[in-house]
Amino acid sequence: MSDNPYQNDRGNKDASITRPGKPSEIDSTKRSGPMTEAPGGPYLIGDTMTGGYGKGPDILHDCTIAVDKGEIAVIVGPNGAGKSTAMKAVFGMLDVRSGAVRLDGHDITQLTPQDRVAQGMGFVPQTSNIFTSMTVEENLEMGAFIRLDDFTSTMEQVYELFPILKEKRRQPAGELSGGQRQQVAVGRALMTQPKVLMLDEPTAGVSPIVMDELFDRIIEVARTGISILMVEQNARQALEIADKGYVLVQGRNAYTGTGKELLADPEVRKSFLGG
Amino acid sequence: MDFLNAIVALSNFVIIPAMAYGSQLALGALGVTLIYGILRFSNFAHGDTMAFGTMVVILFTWLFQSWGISLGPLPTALLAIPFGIAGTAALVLITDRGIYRFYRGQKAKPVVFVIVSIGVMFIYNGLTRFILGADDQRFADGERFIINAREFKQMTGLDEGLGIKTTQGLTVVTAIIVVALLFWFLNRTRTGKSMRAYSDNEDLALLSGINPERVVMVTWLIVAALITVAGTLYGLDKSYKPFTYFQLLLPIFASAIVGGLGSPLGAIAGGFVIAFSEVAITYAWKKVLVYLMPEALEPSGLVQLMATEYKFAVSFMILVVVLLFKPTGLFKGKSV
Repeated sequence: MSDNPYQNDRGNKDASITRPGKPSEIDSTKRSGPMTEAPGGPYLIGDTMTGGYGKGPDILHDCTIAVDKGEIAVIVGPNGAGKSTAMKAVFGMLDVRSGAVRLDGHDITQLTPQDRVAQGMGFVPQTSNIFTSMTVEENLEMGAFIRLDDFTSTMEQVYELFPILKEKRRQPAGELSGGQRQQVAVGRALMTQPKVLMLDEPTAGVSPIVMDELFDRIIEVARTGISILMVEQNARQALEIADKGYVLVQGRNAYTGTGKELLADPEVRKSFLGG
Repeated sequence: MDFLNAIVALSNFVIIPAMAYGSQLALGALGVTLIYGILRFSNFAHGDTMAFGTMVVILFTWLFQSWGISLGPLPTALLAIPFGIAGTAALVLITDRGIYRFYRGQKAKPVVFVIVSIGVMFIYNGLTRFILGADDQRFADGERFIINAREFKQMTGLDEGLGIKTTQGLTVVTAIIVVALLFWFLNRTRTGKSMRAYSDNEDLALLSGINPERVVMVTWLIVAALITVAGTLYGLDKSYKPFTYFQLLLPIFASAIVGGLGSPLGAIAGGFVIAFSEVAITYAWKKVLVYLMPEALEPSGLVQLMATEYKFAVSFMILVVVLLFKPTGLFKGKSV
């Protein structure tokens, strides 16, 4: 897979000495660098970001993504366009070699993902986004890990937003259906009371009915003043609810505009929305 | 009367020793299972960490003895355990900082960690021998028996005596307390839950603001405590010799795997399964059978299935059988 000899296990399958499963992709031994003042600009912006994973080639090329307070920004584009990568770059999960990420008037490019969480960013990955062996309630508790105050009212709010979770709160999250898992995932991220919520394909693998329901909930969340940055496969529906849309192609900004503008743009319609 | 005698003989030679040995294995296996769950590899340095921890306890015990401090009927080593834990914790944390952390930063595959832990094992091995030597050490003091075999005979009028050593009683009680504390910690406290969360999904734990390096550190601290307690209890109950502790690696691994790697409950169950099998298979059953069988059928041999020299073969056999037929272990661990 890679030429790093430490990552070559020569096809070792012996689970009695090594635990199988997906190991962490994020370097947890890294420390945060300084955070500097950078006033002005949108609430959250990944400004002309260039970068890729580890020592690999660049995936993003001068890619800019921004979202303002209470807005919904949507990233769409074909497969392999670097949508998820752009999102991860904003969250500090890969090296941004040039460009910057700014949040609320601060340059946070040097911060680790953990520290970005503390700065008010919430991230819901596309896959394995819940703690399957833990109960729904424990999942939410873990979401609130960095909070040292009483978070019961936030938990009530999450239960209000997703009533089914209250019903299943003592059940291991791994036993829930796909749609319910996504609700747990979003609920977990909301527990930190983030100012920006980043969702990586929240509707992947759920039925159309559940998808509509999830979009409704996301709009509800945005109305409470939380900015939402979202990668979506279902471009048309996503752009309908978006204040801002970004169409990425091969790691570059191809089209940018409000959701309505992009939906009306004949080029975008032809290339990405199926006419 | 014969039946009672049989039960007493069985308790004296099989049940009580196996309970004590099982508790020691369970504590050891809990450490292995925690490292497997959190750090994703089987720690081959476990036995020698145990030897090191016990060595620190022994040194402090001798110091206390020279000062004339004792716990009366209880072994002085109990007083030295906290110091032993501190010493072991320092050792494993330094090791983690200097060695394992580098490989975590490299995102090394777990199998690399396994080999690294073997290297660490040799270093610890030499360290213990350098400080204390390779010989047997005795550090048990205090009252030897809770129930003395001779007194038991006089008291009950039975032919068979029942002896419970102080160290055996102590082992079981300590193990229960330690395990209860561990489970409370993992299931009820914020830090404990964050460890379970990390073991479940590393990236998501990180995205929830859980600091992985802290989880790793807490894991090493808990493992240091578990292993020092286990090693001290084993040393008090039997005797201390660095090589014996290295050899304990096999039954400890077997316990963790039989119970299901990654499952703390499994580690405990596995410890007792291995201990009971080992003791029962290497015990000469003649004594018990003489009481139970009619005179004509009394066995002439010892009815010992295996000589005690082969006791490690027992854990190995169980290990193989479990891996063949129930790879996830008894308690559905992380599917081996």
